[in-house]
Amino acid sequence: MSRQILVTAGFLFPWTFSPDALTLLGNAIGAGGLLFLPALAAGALLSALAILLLHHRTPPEQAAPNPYQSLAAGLGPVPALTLILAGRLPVVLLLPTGMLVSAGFVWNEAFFHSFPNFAFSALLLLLVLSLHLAGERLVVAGQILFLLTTLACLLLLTGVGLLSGGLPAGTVTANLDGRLVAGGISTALLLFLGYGLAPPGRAAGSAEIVTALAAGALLYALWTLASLANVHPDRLAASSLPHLLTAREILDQPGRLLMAVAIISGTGALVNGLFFQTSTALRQLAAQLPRPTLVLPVRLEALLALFYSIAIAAALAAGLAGSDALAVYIHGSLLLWLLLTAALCFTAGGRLRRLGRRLHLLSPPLGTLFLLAILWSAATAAEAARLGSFCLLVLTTVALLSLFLSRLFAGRDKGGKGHDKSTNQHRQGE
Amino acid sequence: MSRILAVWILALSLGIAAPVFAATVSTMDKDELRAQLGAENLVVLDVRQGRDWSTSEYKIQGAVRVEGGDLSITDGYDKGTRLVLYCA
Repeated sequence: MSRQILVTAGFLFPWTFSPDALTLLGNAIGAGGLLFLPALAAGALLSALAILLLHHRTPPEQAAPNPYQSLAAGLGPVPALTLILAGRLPVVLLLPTGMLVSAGFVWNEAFFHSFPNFAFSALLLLLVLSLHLAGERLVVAGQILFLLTTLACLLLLTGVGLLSGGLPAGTVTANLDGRLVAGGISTALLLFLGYGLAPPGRAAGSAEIVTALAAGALLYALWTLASLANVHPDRLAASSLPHLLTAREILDQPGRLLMAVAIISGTGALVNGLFFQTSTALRQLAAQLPRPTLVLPVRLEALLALFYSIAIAAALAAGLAGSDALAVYIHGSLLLWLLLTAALCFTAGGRLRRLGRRLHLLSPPLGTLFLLAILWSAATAAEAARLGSFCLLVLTTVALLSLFLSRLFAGRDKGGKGHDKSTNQHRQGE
Repeated sequence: MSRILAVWILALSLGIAAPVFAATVSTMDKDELRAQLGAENLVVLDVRQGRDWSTSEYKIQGAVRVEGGDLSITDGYDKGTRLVLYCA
């Protein structure tokens, strides 16, 4: 695996191997049994098609426009700003809040009972913040280390699980149900979120991103088989920690410790990767503003990382992780992220149609499928009303904020400063 | 570099100082509880919420989960029942 593929996987799919994604995956495996495999394949295929749409190079030596440029060209600046803020901010604030707590518990329960879990969560957050204050080189190095550690643990457990387990439990015929398939596909679409941006360094092409996605999907499929070979589906579906349950069944205490390492490093990758992804998205937005507003004493990324960290630390201190509402908010954040991806698919189609690329034909059905997956996931959620309220509240708030910002900067721009030249810049992640 | 160092020192200080602020309540250690598990007049109430419950491996067998922090469930027990609240 080349370094670029690792960087691509690490920065575009930090959520995919995080503890919450593993829980979502484990519960879906439990609910669907072997039937989850075709749903997983369908979700991966749809995500791969979305990558082809979003990262199609036109002309080939240049990357596609960044998400803001793409959305603003298709929908206008305020909806573009709204969708990006709604799809990014809740994800970067709420997912780390939840998963840092998971990592803290795992550390406390698996390795060091007398070390407070909350203190470990805070130290892990500080480690990631330190990387972002130090600069992109360390952010990238840290992400590769986090990713490799997580993958090594999961691969080892998967290999042993496949070799030592019996036949996978849960047959397709016994569980054949359209609702399970739809649920499995919508879950798979959520699990592969993250490919809307380009990774750091040179702009990655769609082939590299699809390769990273395919590698992740393959590991998921093997983990599905290993899980079903070692744990009954009902136990997986009912567990709040199905991945830890599977690891324990595969290798007993060493398996538990391996999964604990995967959870901690997966959390590090998630927080580091989401900080990077969101800062990249916000930097692309900032590049659209008149230049005088961008004069900062420190790097924008460092400032943003500090902002995320303070907000997450405040949420941790306020006990948000101890609230049942956090699970609903995280689900809502993922749906808003998928909504952003659906909008990007629609607007990418318009761009490709203007360029005469037949690929644009994929855009309407793909975007529609993503929207249907959002509706399905929301409608079948345990707390659908609370979930809907959260999503509407976020969308309304950021829409008003976007309108305000748009007016504010439009007013300032009348002074003739003009927009940053990066509106015409076609390299993502720059 | 000095800023990063300062952030780390602040965090470590907070981590070390945190237990000082913990309130003193009547507690029972795990060995004491283990010895009493199964007793007729003992009920363990798992009052952990959200992630505190869902991401912890430790779930006491037979414990009654109190969802949403609603302790009205305790009204249903006899006065002689010893209630153990498991919160962390």
